Amino acid sequence: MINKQIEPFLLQVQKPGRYVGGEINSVHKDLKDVDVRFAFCFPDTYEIGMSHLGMKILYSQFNEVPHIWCERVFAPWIDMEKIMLENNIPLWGLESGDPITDFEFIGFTLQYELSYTNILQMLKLANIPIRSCDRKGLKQIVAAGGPCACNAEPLADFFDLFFIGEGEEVDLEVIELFRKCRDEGRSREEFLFLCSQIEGVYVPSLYTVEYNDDGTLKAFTPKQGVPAKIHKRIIMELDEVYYPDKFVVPLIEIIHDRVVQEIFRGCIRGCRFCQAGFLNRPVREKSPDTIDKQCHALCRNTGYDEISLSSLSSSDYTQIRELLDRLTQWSLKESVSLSLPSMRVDGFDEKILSKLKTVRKSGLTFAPEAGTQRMRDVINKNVTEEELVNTCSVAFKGGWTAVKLYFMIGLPTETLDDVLGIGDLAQTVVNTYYKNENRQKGKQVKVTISTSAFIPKPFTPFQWEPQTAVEETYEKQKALKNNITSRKIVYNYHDAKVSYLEGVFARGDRRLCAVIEEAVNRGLHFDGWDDCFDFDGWIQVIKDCGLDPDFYVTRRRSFDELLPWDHIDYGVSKSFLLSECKKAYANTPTPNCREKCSGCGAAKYGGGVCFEKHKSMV
Amino acid sequence: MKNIRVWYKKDGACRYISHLDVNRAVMRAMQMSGVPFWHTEGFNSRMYVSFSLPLSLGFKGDYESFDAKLTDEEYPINEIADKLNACLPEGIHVYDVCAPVMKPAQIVYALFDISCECREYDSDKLYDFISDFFKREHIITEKKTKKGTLKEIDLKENIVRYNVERMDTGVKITLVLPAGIEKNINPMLLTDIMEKELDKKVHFFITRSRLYNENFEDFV
Repeated sequence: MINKQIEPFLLQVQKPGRYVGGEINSVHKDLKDVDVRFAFCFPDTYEIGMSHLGMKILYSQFNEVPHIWCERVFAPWIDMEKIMLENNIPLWGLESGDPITDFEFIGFTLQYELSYTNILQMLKLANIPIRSCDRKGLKQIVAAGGPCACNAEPLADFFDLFFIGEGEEVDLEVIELFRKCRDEGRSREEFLFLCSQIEGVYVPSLYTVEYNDDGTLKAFTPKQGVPAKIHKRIIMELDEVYYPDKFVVPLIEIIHDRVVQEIFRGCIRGCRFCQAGFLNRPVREKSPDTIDKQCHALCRNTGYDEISLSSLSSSDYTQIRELLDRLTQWSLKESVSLSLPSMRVDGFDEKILSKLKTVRKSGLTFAPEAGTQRMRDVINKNVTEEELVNTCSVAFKGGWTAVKLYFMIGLPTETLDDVLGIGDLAQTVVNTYYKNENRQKGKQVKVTISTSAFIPKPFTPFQWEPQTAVEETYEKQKALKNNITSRKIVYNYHDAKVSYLEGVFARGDRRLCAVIEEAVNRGLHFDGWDDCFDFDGWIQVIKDCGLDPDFYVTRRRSFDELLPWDHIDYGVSKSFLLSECKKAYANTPTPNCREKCSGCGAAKYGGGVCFEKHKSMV
Repeated sequence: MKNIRVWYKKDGACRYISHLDVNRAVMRAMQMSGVPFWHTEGFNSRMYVSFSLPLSLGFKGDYESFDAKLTDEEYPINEIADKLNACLPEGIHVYDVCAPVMKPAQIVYALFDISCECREYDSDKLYDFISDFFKREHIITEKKTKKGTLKEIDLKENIVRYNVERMDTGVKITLVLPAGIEKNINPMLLTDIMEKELDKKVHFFITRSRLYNENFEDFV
């Protein structure tokens, strides 16, 4: 339903289709049948949020429950926000068009550090008090989940609870607990205390934090009866977990405008920079049969003619060939094309390639992550130059003329040689094209390399490492740029200042809550967007709040420091992360989970790859 | 292969999406419907669909159509509307499917109904202003050409017919303007000037309600 207050203004904003709802498969309910209204908020624009798989899953799952009505809410872009503020129009849910102010639950997904300000801005636009201590009664429960919830301390003052780990089960448990508490006439405080007893729920207000004089954490203490450690929730049987058979199909074009099908969770590789790889251990796969059925249902119910098979490393799916065979049995007939993002250089062959170009040809992107073998060993990427060359060779033979390569700069122990090696590797790929006799005649090769600045993340072996300072990153980018002479290589890089600010929040503590609040008061938000990003403004806010941004970003933490996320348990032990960090310093790779178990701790969940037959045991 | 023309209305949420978005929504509905639509045979195969005349974002459309092809000539045409409607978003509603008679290139004029409301301005005054506006000898504005340069045009000489009526809550304008591939005048060129000259927020609700050929016969 179009919000009636906003309709007269719709033609004054960019992309009004963001604000009108009415999409195929969006869920409308009669308020008589509903007793919990859930605003699923994505703290970025419609096009970004609608591309997010987690929201699609939870939206459908919540709405399967007759008495819950889950609606989607996105951050209005600044043109719309201005109109809302000028005309006193509160933030509304796309399905009903109603203001979300008095909804029982306001749920956010935390995907990106620089969207934190948008969360506060959205709460303000909805006329909801931003600090959890200012919200009263059993309504306006502000909750969040997603990867950034692993270190949610910079948001601790604003949220009533965080979901740690996978949400499919725990979210509904909390909603049911809420209904029970409301029926029994319990207080908000009682409800939150009971939530803290549910595995996978973190209630930040039930913990007190003390700091040392140097700003590091001194103690993190639970209140009486509250668990000292919060353990993540995890779903072991992916064939049985809820997966929607339809997605809301947006009216306007979004970033990932296609069917997204999850094929497994977790990653066997253990790349030492990768947070997702550690947070989601152990690897659990869906069967080809389940994937095939789910894909087919989604295509039929959405009309999409493209499927993206999603995982952290698609070529590591054990039955990838069988899966592609099954999918192409019907996809060809129905003109549906398949794409496999997150392909590893070493998992790619002609057979897979041929399946991918049956209907439409998609782009090819690989992530060697680092330019030299030594650097790749440090980060445990475990791919060789030879593998990259072979793979590109296969692709060029198959008719591709453009390849994208992703890298990071600023990795631990990195030298200038490692940075320049990125350019050399790209040149090797260009040369590979011209050595290839079956290349497309008369066509030029284009190798696009992108570098992002490495940001050390919690729950990775590099969580203690300093992040490279902005100036140094600029110098490295410049050196690499100057080292690239071929016009067949295009070099893109991320703004080091954006990465620096991300670094502040990635490993931040609770003292940053005041910073985020002040930043929003000063009008800073949509920081991930070039149009809005104001680095100097941010640094000023942090300093005005009495904090030093370098404390969070460029400081090397000692191995015995109490870290702001140490009270959360994602299954991988701190001692394992530490041993991985030391192996990185020694340029020593670690075998992947299928080659050999390295004893990270995730085996305690009793399933997944940890209990597959390993090659080393056969 | 059989050519068909699908007639639909565009309103509700779909008023606020662009022509390209309508195109995508329609292609998805075609894909979902299970009707044997023909796919193009090019490098990037897609469902063939060709719209008679794009409609601007923000306009309601009562007389919209697109052409498609069926691979199965025996397929019952009267089933197509229901099948598509089941797969289309609210706001796009198919009301007829038939064989095309005219070519889209024959479209020369479009009929627009524009209802105008202004909260800050008395409806009588608004009526007087709009009536006087259309009586002017020249209405000059700048229009972007296909090359991207600005060209000065006189809108008045392009207005084929017009009528201004006083309604209960505002003013209704009926307009016939050139439309089609040769010459296309967007009624917003006129409403923009009116709003600017009035210096007040006027809500113009524009509906394209008919398309004609050069003899003012309905496009069919």
